[in-house]
Amino acid sequence: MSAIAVPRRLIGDRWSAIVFAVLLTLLILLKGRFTAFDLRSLCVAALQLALIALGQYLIILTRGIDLSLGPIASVSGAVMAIVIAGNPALGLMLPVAFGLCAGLLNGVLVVGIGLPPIIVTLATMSIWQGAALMVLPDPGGSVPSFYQAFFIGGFSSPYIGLVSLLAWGGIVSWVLSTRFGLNLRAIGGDELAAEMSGVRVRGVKITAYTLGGLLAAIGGMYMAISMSSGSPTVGDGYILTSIAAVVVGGVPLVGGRGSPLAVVMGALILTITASLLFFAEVSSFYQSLIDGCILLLVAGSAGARDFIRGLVRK
Amino acid sequence: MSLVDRQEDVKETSAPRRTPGLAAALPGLLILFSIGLIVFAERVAPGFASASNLMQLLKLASFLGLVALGQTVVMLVGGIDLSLAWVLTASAVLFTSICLGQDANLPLAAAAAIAIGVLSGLVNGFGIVKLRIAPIIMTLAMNNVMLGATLVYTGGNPGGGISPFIRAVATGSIAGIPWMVVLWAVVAFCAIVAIRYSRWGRRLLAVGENSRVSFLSGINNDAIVIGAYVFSGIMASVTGILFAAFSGASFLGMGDQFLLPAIAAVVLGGTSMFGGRGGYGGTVAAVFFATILSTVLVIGSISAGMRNVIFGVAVLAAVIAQKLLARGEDQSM
Amino acid sequence: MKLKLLIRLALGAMALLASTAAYAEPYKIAVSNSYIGNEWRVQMIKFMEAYTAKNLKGKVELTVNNSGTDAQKQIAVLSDMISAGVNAILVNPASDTALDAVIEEACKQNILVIAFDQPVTAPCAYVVAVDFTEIGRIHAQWLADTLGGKGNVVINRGVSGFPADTNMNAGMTEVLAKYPDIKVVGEVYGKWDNAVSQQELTKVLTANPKVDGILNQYGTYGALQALLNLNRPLVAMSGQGENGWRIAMLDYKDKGLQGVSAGDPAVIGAYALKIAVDILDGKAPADKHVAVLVPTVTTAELKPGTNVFPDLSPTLDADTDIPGANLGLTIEDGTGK
Repeated sequence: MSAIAVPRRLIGDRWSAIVFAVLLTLLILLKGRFTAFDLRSLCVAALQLALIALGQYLIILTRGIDLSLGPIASVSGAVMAIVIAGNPALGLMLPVAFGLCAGLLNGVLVVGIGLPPIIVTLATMSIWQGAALMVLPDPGGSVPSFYQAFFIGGFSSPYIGLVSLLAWGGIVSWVLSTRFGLNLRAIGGDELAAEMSGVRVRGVKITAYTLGGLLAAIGGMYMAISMSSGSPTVGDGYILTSIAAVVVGGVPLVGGRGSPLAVVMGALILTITASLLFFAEVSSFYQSLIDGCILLLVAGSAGARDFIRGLVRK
Repeated sequence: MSLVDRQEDVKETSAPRRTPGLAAALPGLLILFSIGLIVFAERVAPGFASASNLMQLLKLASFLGLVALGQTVVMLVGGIDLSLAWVLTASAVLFTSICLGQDANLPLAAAAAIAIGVLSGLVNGFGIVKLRIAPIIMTLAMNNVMLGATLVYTGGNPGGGISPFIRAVATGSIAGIPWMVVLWAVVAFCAIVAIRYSRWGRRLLAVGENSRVSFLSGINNDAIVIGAYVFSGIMASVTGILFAAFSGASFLGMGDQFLLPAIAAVVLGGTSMFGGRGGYGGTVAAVFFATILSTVLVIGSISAGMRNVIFGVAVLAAVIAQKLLARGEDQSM
Repeated sequence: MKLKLLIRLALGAMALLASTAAYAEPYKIAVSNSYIGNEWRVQMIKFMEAYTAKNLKGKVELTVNNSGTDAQKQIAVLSDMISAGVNAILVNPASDTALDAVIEEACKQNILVIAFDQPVTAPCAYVVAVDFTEIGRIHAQWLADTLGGKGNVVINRGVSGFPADTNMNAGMTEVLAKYPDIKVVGEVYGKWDNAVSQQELTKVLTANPKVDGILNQYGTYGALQALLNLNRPLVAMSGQGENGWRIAMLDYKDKGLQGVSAGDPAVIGAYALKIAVDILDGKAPADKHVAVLVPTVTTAELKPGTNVFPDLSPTLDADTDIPGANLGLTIEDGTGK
């Protein structure tokens, strides 16, 4: 069993990288070139999705799911945009603190009280959507352009975006290599067995939700930075996309599996499809149709490969 | 379990059975909450709790109730259907464009619209079962495909019309009770009985609870799961037809408003996202609760942000109360 | 001999230059739309495509991209457009501030940027948009006049968190504040959608037995359906330029329905396109904020076939021109039929 599982897992992790490479090649062929400018815009757009998806990934490792991460990002970006111009230190700390608290709240409700994650986070999703509208009724506030130059780089400096993307993937990989991370994987693999071998299951799970909230909040800060402002609804688009990025990265939703870098690949894949549609000059009415098909193709490719292999063997 | 890779189901341990008394208490609690809200609303806006008003609200609730039935069945087998929003819209649009306001065209129009539900359900089911695509992705992509197909088919400009008969069903009433409420009551009764007592219902629960065990006991898991998605597609199509009749026309995006409320209603009604437990009775109660709650929020003239917050808090309160009621019972989720 | 040849060559070269000037490379204009899943946006795109086919053939190459409601994705698409080296970007922005940095970058690379339908705050961009506050004022003023300055009013808003909703609502409340006898008894969020408007208004109407007027940001057809379904009197309503609403204004005129139709026209994209070509041709308007007059129609001014189309879909936007724009478009250009 495990002899088969191990190589499959390796391919599973690499599969998303292979798919991304194919899509990137396709884009370069369509465009004829790939400049530093293009690299920067791809990485920066993927960065925000990647951060929220990494948060989602930690929670999915516990066999949970979190629908509130997008709105947490909205609130954190809104708070940052309101505060940072007047008080830079508070502007950076407040959103982080909020993300930790919001994640902790989810964790306590799910693990402490034992409520189903989807319904808890559906409720907190609604709460944070409302809170974002109360903090910032309209898009506004301001994040000085200095932060943009510092955190994601100007339009001509591609590397800050790329490095940040890899760095956040690396940081989460490191977190998963600690004792906490090993316990987290063990819980996702088999909660009962983990508990019997002495893992403090509840503490680890609550920590995962808390870190998920934190990563989402940081994603929201990156959004505010790249928009130079806050928006109360900006995170709504990430509620389902963050789950999609994890799954496209090849991570099964049963917990315990996958790697952070695969999740980053998932975010890159979802981001690059929009560019593909533009450069392929797809007629505007066909865009959502093809967008859906690409998603199916990417998500189904691994399964289709196995399916066909199964037919051939028969 | 299978929001997820079907192969992984092996490890799911079977949770102790819920006692029937408690299962019945959960929907009861939601109804109790709803009655409390109605009493409160009557205080704020005298005349609110009149029979005719409540019937109107029930009529509104019936559309969500029908969509949520499909979602309930899918979630019973551990899946989720995010495609219902645009399957509903696509069906409504195709229906009005074939019906053209004539009763004579009604059978063909209805058949074509329902065919969309069947087809999308089949594709969803095939992708999830055979290609092992996670349901959340499969149905999200199907939603985009349906959106695109609708735009291409209509050129963004849905036309046609509703025929008098279906219009009468969706908006008329008999002896003060809207036809839609009668229809919903009949469907709800059949669904509750079928899920609890029929062979099909028991198989749904068995597959959702533990697909390996159900497979070993001779159930064709794949057929049950694909069937659940087809059923959900059909319910979305039927709702699309009725909702277009209620609205007097079809609109792009008319299904979007049902997506998250349908999921919320199913889960709030006690159906586990990981399959294997729950039923439609809880969903009906939750749909009723959600409709009353959102009406009370509307009449309270509360800001949009605050409405969201209150809605979230109310859902949390309801689910915590359910949990307290069910205390003593093992809840693995 | 040699001289002749030289002259010939020179003449030839001049002719060649002249001909390339006449058949200059077409302008590459990219349209970045945000959401596409509603009729108004689709019609807006169709009008832009029809305007190009009718008036700008060979002169403009138009590409259209829809990025959804997500401002982040739109930033990425705008970057792609910059990278593709287009001459002009027309953007219907998902947010008024979020795109500023990427728009400034486009301007820096000598790309003309026009935000249409909704404004952006980037100073280098042109803005072609109606004043949403003014739409709100027109609606509320008409209703206040019609009701004689007193009565119970329900406001059907749009999607909260979007400036268009805030601004229209600000215009409405600003005018209503002048009439102390007008009471706002309910406020719902119809999400600029007929089906949602119908449901939300049903809820608020069940709680308020006496409503004298409804102000709709959009979704007026749905609002009317709510009244009809509940067998309520057809009270005075305001709405945008939705064909279904204008048909209803005609159809229910004899049953006492009073209405006004004033809103953001779907031809605004075509108007922005016209202005973009003018600017590329060197005829820039004096002000970067191009004021767009709000087409306003009352029941008496409705003319079937001109500003209301009884045989066509209720979801169409019935305005085919903007006062002063002379776009030469017909309603068929917006339906693609």
